[in-house]
Amino acid sequence: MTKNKAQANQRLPDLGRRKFLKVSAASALAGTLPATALLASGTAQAIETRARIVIVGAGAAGISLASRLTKAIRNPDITIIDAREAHYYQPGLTLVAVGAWKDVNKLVDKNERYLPRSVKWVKESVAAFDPDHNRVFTHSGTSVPYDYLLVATGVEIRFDLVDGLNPNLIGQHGIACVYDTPEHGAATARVINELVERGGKALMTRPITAIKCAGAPVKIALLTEHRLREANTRSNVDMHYLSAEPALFSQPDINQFLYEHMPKRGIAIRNRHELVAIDPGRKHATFRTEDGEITEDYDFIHAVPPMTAPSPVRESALAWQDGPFVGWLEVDRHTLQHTRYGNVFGVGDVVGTPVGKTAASVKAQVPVAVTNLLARIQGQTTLPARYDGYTSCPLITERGKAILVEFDYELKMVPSFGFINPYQEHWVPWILKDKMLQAAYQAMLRGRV
Amino acid sequence: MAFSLMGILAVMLEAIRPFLVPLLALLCIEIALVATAVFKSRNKPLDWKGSGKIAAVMGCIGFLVALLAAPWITGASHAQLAGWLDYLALVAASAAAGVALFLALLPLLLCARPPQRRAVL
Repeated sequence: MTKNKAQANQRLPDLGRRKFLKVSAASALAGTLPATALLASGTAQAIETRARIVIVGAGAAGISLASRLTKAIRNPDITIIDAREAHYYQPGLTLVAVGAWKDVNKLVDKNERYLPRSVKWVKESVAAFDPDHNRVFTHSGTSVPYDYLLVATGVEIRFDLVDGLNPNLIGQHGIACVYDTPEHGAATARVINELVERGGKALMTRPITAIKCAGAPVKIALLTEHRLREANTRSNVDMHYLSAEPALFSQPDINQFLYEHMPKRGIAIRNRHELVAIDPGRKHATFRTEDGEITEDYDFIHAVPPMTAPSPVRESALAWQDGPFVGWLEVDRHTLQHTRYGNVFGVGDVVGTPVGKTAASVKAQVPVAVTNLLARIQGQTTLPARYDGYTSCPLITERGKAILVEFDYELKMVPSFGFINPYQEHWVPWILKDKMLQAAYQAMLRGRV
Repeated sequence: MAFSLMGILAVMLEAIRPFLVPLLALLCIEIALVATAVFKSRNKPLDWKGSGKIAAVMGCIGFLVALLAAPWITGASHAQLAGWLDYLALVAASAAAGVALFLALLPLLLCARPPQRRAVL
């Protein structure tokens, strides 16, 4: 081997130009072929169907569904309905809010960049579902018929359920809210800056309903505390985390970690405190507790409103009519098929399942919904794919450190990377969140992961 | 959640997508430099040894700079690194930066340095 290497090295300077170019070209081709083959779409396995497929919602779930279905069906008849043209990278909102990402435009994209061209886009909002007659109605009154329906509307953020709170107040009167839009993220950053400069009493809230990215309220609390330490103004701020829930986090190990970690950082925890009203002028917040209502004054409040399924879903026959997920889309938690309307499937934040209102859940749900939909189209009685409840939250504990939390319906940790300890703070999960997750998200939108 | 090789490649593609144009421009420059070096070497052999040595030294410097600066670039600090995983990631990323610098500089140096006289046997 050594002799061969030496011979090769000796030959290098004498490598003829033509030979060198031939060898280079062959090497480049050999290196490129496997990657090209892997990235080629799997049209060979695409099925033939004339079924009309309607997707409601062009968020992360809706676009991912459209991308995957376009690859899986030859000449598909797919319609997507959503009035929004902008696409927001919502997992980045916390990073903007705490100043880790300075450029808010990093969060703003366009749906048209990701939607396959063959997909018909109805740029309207859905006003009502009529699953008994296989059609949906848009706000303009247009009836859109379907053979198969995929509901991916996301959630509705219910500012109206907190008396005195409305989205226009975010960024004023010490009111922050990281959810929903890049504008809210940027406004939250301004209010956090004011807190860092002026100090005072900070209240971090978490509502009683299921919410998307349930780790975000905790992340905002921890990252704001870190900002204060970095600015040497931590002692000027009295921090409280008030959750309407009985626990801080659904996964028990992480819940335990937070119960120990947050008080160590001077964040007082109060459970079963539900924000019900806010008086921006006087900077008073009212909470419903087991002992009745209490009012707290504040200088800064991260007000997370309750979230529900959007009203067209909530008020339709598609919603759970009773039980713990009442109002959310009624699907089998494993097949994601509607339990009463077999030609309806649901993906993303709108589904009424125990956990999973994250982009990571969407990544796990979309292949399941697509596989099962195709099976249904092909007349299979048993749906082959199952969603195990996978969800993930890179729980950022401070800028530069995070815990990569991944778990399933059973709340068992299911780490994707065995070498990353899901119980310890590390730099590597922070890099994943800061540098790689947006790329993974975009690959998901294109139906490639 | 399992990640396929195709999935990882797709994510890498998305990660570099914003930099594709400058990366392709750099690649073109490098190819042009290699072609120039090969053209120059028609009569006289290239100075692989000398150029390689300088590129290797620069690569090592790049590695050390990356070792010091990588956490800072990501908004973190060395104090936040915890456990073998973080240090291994830091060393691996810094080594990748060093190798990239070596590969970027080598064609330039091969072009810039005068060809060696062919040894007379």
